[in-house]
Amino acid sequence: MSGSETFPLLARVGVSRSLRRVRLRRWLVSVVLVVGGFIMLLPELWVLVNSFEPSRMQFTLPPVWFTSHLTLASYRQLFDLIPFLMQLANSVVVTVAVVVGSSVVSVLAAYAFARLEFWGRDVLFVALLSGLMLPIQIAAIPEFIEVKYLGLLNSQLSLIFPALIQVFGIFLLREHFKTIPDELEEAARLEGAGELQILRLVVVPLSWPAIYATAIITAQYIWNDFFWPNLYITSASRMVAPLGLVTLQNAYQSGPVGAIFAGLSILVIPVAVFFVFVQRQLMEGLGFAGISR
Amino acid sequence: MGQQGELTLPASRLRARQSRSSRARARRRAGMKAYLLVSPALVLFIAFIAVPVVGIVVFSFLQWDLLTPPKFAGLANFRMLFHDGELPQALFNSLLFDIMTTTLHIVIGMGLAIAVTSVRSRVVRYWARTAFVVPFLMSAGAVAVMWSYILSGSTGPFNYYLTRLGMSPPDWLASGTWALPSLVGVDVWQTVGITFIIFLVGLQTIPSVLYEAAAIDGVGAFQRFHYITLPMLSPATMVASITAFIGAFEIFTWPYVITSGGPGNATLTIMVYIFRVAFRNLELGYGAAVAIVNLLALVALVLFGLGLGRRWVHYERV
Repeated sequence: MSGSETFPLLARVGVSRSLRRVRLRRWLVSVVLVVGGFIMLLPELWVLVNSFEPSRMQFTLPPVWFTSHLTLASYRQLFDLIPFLMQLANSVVVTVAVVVGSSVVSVLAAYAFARLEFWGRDVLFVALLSGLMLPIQIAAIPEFIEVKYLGLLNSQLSLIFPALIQVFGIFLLREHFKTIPDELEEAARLEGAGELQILRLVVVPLSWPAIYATAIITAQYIWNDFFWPNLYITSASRMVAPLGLVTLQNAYQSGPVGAIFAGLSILVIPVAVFFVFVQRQLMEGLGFAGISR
Repeated sequence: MGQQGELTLPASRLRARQSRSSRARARRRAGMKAYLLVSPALVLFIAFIAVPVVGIVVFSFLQWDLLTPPKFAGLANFRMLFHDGELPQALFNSLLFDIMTTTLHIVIGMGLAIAVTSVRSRVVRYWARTAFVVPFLMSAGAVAVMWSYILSGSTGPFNYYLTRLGMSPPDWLASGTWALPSLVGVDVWQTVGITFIIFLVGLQTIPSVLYEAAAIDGVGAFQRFHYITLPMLSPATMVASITAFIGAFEIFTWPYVITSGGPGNATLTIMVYIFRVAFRNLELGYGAAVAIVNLLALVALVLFGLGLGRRWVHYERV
């Protein structure tokens, strides 16, 4: 509902002059929002435009915003310098694996925590919750040693396994599962359904929005992450794409600008497309995250 | 969210009640299955959260350079903490960064949410939501690389346009004074969208009756903000600030990629310092000791923040 600023009563009372003032203010606010939003997107636009320019126009002053000399040279240079397509694929594989895997782990655990009774349930749940507030990077040193002795160093598995536990997801899904009426579950039980069947046939179908929301938050977190890939992955062909670009920038003194701009542009586009499709779920997820925590 | 009354029953009564209802009996039979369902999460939690956290404590008593086997070092690492000139600076930088970025997040995020809510046009709302949230979806590494070009002093477009506007901007990333605030700017640019959304959802839960009543009484815009919006938003504010604060204290990507902690140690944050000690100087034991300091500092700050919050957060269900 978006009605907190509509004044049906006010209109009925007929305070037309102050209404006109309100309209003027709304109009001004709109202008500020449109311009502000545009400024927010300028950096990405600058990178995108630069990535299609020939190198003599890239990263020059004054910045060239419009040119008819469009070229794909920067993109060719990028693919010559680093295995960027491979790195993009790695990013996608890691993100998808973590999202699917952690969703399954979270759904199973959240179901038990929300709807079953077992010894030690509340103690366990509180222990899990303590992980919610803890920034796990603090424990990077022991975690590094652990990953090293598991033989996962410099492998994408090092980015997947530790990320399969998303405490936040368990918490969010548990809250949702608790709202499902008992009667549905009981009916299924009378029909002889086991826990997994109840989960699959009753709980999950009623919870897709919450599951999507957690999945999207997890996807954003994994796609966004720089800390762990930077710690674990050393060979170019196994890197995720953002780490590949950072490494490329460090490998040269100021970096092959064009190639890096090309890489940045490739990274922005899927995000923008993704966003158009998932905006509603993302908003719900983020908002829910904010409120229920 | 409520409905947890049954959990507080004494175990004996709970058991008695269970045996009476058939549903509960079915649930109790599910006991073993429940553990099976929880076990993947539990194993992963122990392996990748609990063990590493306990590991920091264990490691802090060791001397270990990864090349030779670890040696027990007693309290040597903790004694070293007191003679470490860089540690206080790293803590200070993290705290300064944290306070600046959290404040800006709250102010800008709330301002944007109020502005977007007050606008009627769907197009403007959609545009604002998109434009302010898209940076949040970009990978932090990519954002860092991008801004290192934009902010570069003599060749970057940011300073070019500031100069054109008649200002004489500093060389942001090379200046001891401005490097940290520049990273704050990058941080706000990327993540203010999430604070904005939290407030946007928070605003939608405020009943419009309150505003209508205020409008009838002829209450001005500022008073509406002060007496309705702000108190009603205070729980969301608390959540947003604590989340932002915890995240920002451990800030790593910006100072690591954009400035490498420099110039000098001007942007050396605690996480960059831990990374440097452990993985560049290969002093894992000492790094763990610094991590303990980091954790204690963070816990103290959060408790302090929650204490402040208790004074003014307004909890009311309407």
